[in-house]
Amino acid sequence: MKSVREFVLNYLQKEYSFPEEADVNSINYIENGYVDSIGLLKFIVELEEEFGIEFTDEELSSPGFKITGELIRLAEKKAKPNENS
Amino acid sequence: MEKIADLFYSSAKKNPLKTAIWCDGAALTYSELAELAARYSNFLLKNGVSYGDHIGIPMNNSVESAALIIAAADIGAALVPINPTLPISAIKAAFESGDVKHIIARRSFYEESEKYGELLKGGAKICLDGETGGTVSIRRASEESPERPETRVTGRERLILTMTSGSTGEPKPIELAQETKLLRAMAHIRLYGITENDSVLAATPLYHSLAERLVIMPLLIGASSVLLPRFTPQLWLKCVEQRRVTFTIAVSAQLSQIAQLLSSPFAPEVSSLRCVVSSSALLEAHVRNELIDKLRCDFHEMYGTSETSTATSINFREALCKKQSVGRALPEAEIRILGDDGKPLMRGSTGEIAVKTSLMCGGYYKMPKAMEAAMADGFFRTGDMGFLDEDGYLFFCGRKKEIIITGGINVYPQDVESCVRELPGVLECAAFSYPDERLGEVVALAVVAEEGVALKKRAIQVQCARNLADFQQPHKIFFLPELPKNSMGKLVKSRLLEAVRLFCEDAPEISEKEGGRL
Repeated sequence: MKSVREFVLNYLQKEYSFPEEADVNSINYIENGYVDSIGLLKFIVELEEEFGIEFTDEELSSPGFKITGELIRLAEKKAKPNENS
Repeated sequence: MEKIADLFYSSAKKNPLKTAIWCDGAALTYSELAELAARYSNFLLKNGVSYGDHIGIPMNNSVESAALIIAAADIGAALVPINPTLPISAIKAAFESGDVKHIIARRSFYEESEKYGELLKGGAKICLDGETGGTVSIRRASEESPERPETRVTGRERLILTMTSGSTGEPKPIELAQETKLLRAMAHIRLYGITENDSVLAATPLYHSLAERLVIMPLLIGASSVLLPRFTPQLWLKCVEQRRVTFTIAVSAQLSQIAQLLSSPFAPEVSSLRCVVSSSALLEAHVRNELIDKLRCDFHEMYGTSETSTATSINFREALCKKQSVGRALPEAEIRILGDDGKPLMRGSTGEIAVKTSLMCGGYYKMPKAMEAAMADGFFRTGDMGFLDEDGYLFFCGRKKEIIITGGINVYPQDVESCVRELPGVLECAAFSYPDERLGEVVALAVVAEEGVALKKRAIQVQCARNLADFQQPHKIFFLPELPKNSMGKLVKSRLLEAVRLFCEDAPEISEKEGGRL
């Protein structure tokens, strides 16, 4: 099974690679068009399904959710209890 | 016969140091792009791609994709471009229907498709970013000769098989020969007066014919091509200003978002555009006015289909009194309005829009009966409804298949939508058919409110009651965060019911069968 980081980075770079010089963690993947507003729902659902997690409405609407690094950290935190169970 | 690759290489010879293409921070001069395209041609031939072969390509917007179009044209191969975000099963079906023999794709595509068994037997598998099992990296093309290979291309070869975004689920590949692509490019160059001084922006996905045309056009005449990899209104405006874009064709959904951004106090200055064309769906009047005001350039709208290319065009500076029209027929095209019996109707009568044009596609690949069924006396039946006025201007009234038949009376969704759009606080809306035991279907309405506006169902009901006939009233109103659209930003009505069920708690469960009727 892929790690959360691997899954998110692979998904976001399905069509386009991040610029080589970019700080991957700080990329706003919505504003930079790596996932559009239609694709976002599918992305979230697939991420939730892959790691057996669920984001709350507050989390989904928080500005940090659109930032790659913050999304990865949040998903990792949520996925951890599942891994131990 | 003139050929796409010949015209490009001749432009390259005349303008070796001029920027041919820019995409995502990478710019290539004409001589660099010519070398890259020639290396790709030789690389494809070396890896077993032969004259007439079909290459499947989940295509992104990149310099490499543009070079591959030229390379394919130069060796007489055809590309089958496909949306890379489609499920693998759909891509597989599309490749099968397009007789794909080779694949060019990114690593993630090959890795994901492995789970679904072999996509195709034999054939070249070329990887665009690195290498993965069983593929050969396109980077190895750098080892090939930068000289064009000798081929027997006549210009009549198939160049693109483009998949229609029809709602039936069955892919219908539209055949576009090199000569058709060339005729279409030249018709648009003439129509919009594009010259070598233009910088032409393509901001829609390259797997659709619109962006392909926008990329090919400038390269044939020594102008510059600007390819936006991913669309957001911010990225579009930034790109236009930084690359000094002078001409573009955008889909109306993109232009609506751009107009919204331009109306904010933080909107960046845009000063280079001389002409913008809106395509795909009718632009709302206030959006169009905002764009004309802020972009300060010629503004056109066009009407057409993938099968026919652009059929009508209108320049709003020249036709101020025809603002709701999609324009007059191009010199290459003729428009007819057909009645239910397939016979032409008088001016002013609403019927199905049919187009006869020299820019017509070659048909649906291996589906001659499907194309035959769509033709009437040499005219392609578009499935769209409209009328021609006394001056020959076409007015679009909605899609035939989107008609809602409630209690036996036809409702054009556009009538309901334009009424609701008048209401302050409505960002966008869509009327659609909703199954009903009593009436067969009723009008349902999906509404997206502007950010921060608490729109009330009651306000919409009052607006409709005041401005629409009884049979046009929406029986169901759902609030959605956004309307379902395809990658071209076109509303996908067939997904409305699904979106309503996803977002609205009060939407009753509807069986798949019923949902499928929409």
